[in-house]
Amino acid sequence: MITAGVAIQIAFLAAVILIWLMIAYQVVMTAGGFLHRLRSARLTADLLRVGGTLPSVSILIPARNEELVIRETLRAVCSLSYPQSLEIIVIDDGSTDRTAELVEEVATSDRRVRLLRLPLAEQGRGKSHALNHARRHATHDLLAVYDADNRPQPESLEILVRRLLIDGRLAAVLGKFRTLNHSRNLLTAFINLETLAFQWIVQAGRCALFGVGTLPGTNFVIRRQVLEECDGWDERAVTEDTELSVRIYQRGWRIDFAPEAVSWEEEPETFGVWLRQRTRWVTGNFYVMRKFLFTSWRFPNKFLALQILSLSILYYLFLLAVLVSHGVFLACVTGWLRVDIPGPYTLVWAGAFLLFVAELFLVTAYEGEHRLRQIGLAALMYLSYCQAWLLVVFRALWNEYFGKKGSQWDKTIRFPSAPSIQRRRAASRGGMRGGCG
Amino acid sequence: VVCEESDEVLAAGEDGVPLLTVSSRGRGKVLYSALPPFGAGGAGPFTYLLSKLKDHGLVAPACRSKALEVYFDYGERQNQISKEELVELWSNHGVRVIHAAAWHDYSNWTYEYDELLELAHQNSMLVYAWLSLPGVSEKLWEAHPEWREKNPLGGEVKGRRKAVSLVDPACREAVKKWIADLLGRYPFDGVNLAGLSFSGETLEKPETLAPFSEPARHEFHERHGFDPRELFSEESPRFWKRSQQDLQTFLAWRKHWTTSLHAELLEYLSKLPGAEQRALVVSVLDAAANPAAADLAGVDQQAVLALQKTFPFQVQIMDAGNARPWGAGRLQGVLQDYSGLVDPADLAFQIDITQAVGPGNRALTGIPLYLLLEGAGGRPLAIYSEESIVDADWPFLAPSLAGATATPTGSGELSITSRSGVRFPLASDRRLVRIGGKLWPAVGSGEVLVPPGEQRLEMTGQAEDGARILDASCPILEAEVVSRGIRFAYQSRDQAWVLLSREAVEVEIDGRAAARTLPRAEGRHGWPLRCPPGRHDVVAITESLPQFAVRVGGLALSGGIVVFSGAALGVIALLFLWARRSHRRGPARPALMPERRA
Repeated sequence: MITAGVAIQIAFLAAVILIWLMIAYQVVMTAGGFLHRLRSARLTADLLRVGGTLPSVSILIPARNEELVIRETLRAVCSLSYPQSLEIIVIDDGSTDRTAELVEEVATSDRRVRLLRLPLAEQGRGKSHALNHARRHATHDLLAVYDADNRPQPESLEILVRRLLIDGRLAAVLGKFRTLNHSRNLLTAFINLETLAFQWIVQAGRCALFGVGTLPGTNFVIRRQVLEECDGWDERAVTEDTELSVRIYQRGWRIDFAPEAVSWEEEPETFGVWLRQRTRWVTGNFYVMRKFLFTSWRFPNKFLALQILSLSILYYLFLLAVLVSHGVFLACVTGWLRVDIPGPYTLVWAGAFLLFVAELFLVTAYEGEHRLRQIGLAALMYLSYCQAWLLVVFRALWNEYFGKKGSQWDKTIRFPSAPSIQRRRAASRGGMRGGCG
Repeated sequence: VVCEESDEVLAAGEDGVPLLTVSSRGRGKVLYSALPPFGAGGAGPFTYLLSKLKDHGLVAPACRSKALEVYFDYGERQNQISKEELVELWSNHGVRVIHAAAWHDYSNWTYEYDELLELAHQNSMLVYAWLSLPGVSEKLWEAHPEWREKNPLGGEVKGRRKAVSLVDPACREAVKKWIADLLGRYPFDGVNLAGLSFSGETLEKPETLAPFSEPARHEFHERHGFDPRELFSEESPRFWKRSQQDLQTFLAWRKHWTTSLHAELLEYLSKLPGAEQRALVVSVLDAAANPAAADLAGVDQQAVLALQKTFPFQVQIMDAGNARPWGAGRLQGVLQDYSGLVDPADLAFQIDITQAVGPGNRALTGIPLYLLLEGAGGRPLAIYSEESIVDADWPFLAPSLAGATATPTGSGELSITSRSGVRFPLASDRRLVRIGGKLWPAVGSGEVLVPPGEQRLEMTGQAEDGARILDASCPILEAEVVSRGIRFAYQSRDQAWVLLSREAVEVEIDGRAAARTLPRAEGRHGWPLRCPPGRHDVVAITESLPQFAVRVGGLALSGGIVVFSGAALGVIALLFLWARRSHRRGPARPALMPERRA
């Protein structure tokens, strides 16, 4: 007979198993990411050494009220050291600030820059719509996408394009994005660690072990042919990049990850903005899950199918596991409950904590940023930032079942940054010199 | 004798000269005594010598028994402390049976016997309903004045007990019903039919004599043709001083009635629901030591004891006070006197310490009391009453009753010999016990439950956190940890209570399914298991299959995770060193960029 006490114990063990499956997966991906880093660096270096003719590229930058950042973005994009002609299209989606004026100002001094205004009737329908509109006006066969707050490093576009051209079945190549304002406050420092971990562990690991990458929404190059095959971006999707990635794989194309192609971007500097942005992402992932969950078994790439399934595991079961684990922990601490399961469970917790910190510290080493401070940050992040993700998932679940649905611009609020600081940061990394406008 | 200021004087003569002192000398202590048997000072041995030695840490760990029985009368207790504290006190000092006064039933309140029983069972103690018939509860006595016992003068019999006339058939039935209600309502472990007799201090005090209720007189008249009141009428020719024959007739009639009442009540008790689980005790006057008292109480002891052949009860011989010689051989004398009447296995002693009737007409306490208890030779012994036991005596009662020897052997073991099983204190850091070389899971809080006979005890490191026997109201003969539980054998005259360290989800007694453990009370460490009288083999499964799976799975899971974590951290450390090394050399890409451009 299973008593209430045993049921709690079983729930606790199930939570431990689930959490540790995810941790083990993460460890495997960390090793895979390391392999990808070695392979990718070697491949990129070889490609750059060999050189060769490159095609022209259309760069798409969707923008809506981006007056705080658009000038710096264009400065960086115009400074790309791409040896062929570029077409830089800024799609103004009904900005009510000086975005259009600033873009036109830059366009007067750099003829590669073009402002494309969305017709009034089409404004405010989201980033996907803006991109779909722009791709029809783009003139080249390769399209690069950057968000309006991005500062790509000069060589990044060339790396992306060269990597794309080596394999005819590659639909797109994505680069790495870094946090421009990572030293602004604790939140941006956490986000910096999070983005590094996501790219070096999840993206790189998936690429190395399963040949799967997912588009991040910025800093990638894609073939126009693929977009046409896929009928462009899904305008109902909030995380249009993930959604597009799935359809690309469905059609037998592949996506590669070239972490050497770096673009810097601004990240939320306040908790409220972060919460809204992350909630939007999770809500978007729910959409992707709903759309593909029941057809995923037919995918040619079974690992991608597994990824779709993992979305549900991540957001439902994993959340439940964490809640059970936290609940049992709190109940034990407050004396409401006693879970008598023999075993070194303190070491189990310590193991999870140490692995988390070690993985983050490892990825900072990839960037040459492995300071002791990062260990403290990672430890603090485990106890604070990671727990805040529970709130994100709760909000997303609430939105999923009780909130409003549909795609619309839910733009991340930009923060004014001192250009001098940005330049200094960029300069220290050998990027964003010169410029246009 | 030279005393220093720091010396503690335990006893001094009238002239102030120290007769017993304790002084510290380096890491040890010195006891000086001028009292007998060490010297000629004072009037006799120092009664509380052992207690004082214990206070100074000079008493070595000793075997203890769990054999003591105490009488507990809530109404007589001067110092009213909580049941919890009382039970803890009794439990800490080896009490096995509590004879609880069962008559505290009033019109607006009844003593909380259920709470007392629950607490006692949680401590592996038994509670017997102590019936002091013909005394009954105040509620019954108040409700039926017509049944109250009368003296030959026509008044109510004055005394401590609320006596009723058991010769009256209607009253007798009501009393039986009262007993049945009591036993039906509360799960007493036994019944003590204590001192069932007729009152009477002396024939010179007729106001104390019984039975003279109307039905009793009528019954006597029917049998013997005269009213017994005439025996106490100086004008009557049957006045007892004139007519010894009539007096003897009357006394014989009383004896007949006490025997008859014993028989009727024992039969009634043995037919009540749950009787097979309840012990029966009959406490009788020590007629061998004081036949006159037995005559006056109307007790034909031989006839009462003969009922044992029909109703197998335990005989408790009540304390005869100064009527029996004092000294270490007193209880052996009782045993000897009754050896022809009662099987020694069914005999229990009683010691009354409520009055100053000990040796030299002094209260029975200290060393004389311990020596008396030791004389019980491990047989059941009840002290009347628990409240009269002084604090200094409590720690020495259980060791005195143990009747055991503990001898260290050369191989680090301890050889313990006892008749009924004893407890031996555990060394603070050694809880893993082996008896006869085998792991022994009967280890309670701070003591080992050693089985009867000669045992070789070995104490080593920490015990595993498995099922254990924490306490028991009877000797544990065998015990071993089995898969998912514990197996043990015990022997008990009465129903037994065994306290397990884990809740039993399944219990088998002699291979047959039995009731599981009772719930654990707040603040207690164990789960009580009720076991039937006799010698039985018990298997208590303390872990259900899901619990077993959770325990083993949990252990394997956590162990595996820890190993995996260690390995993963090692791999990550290697990757880190590799990444750092390659970063020092400089990443491949940026180094190539300027070259190509150049």
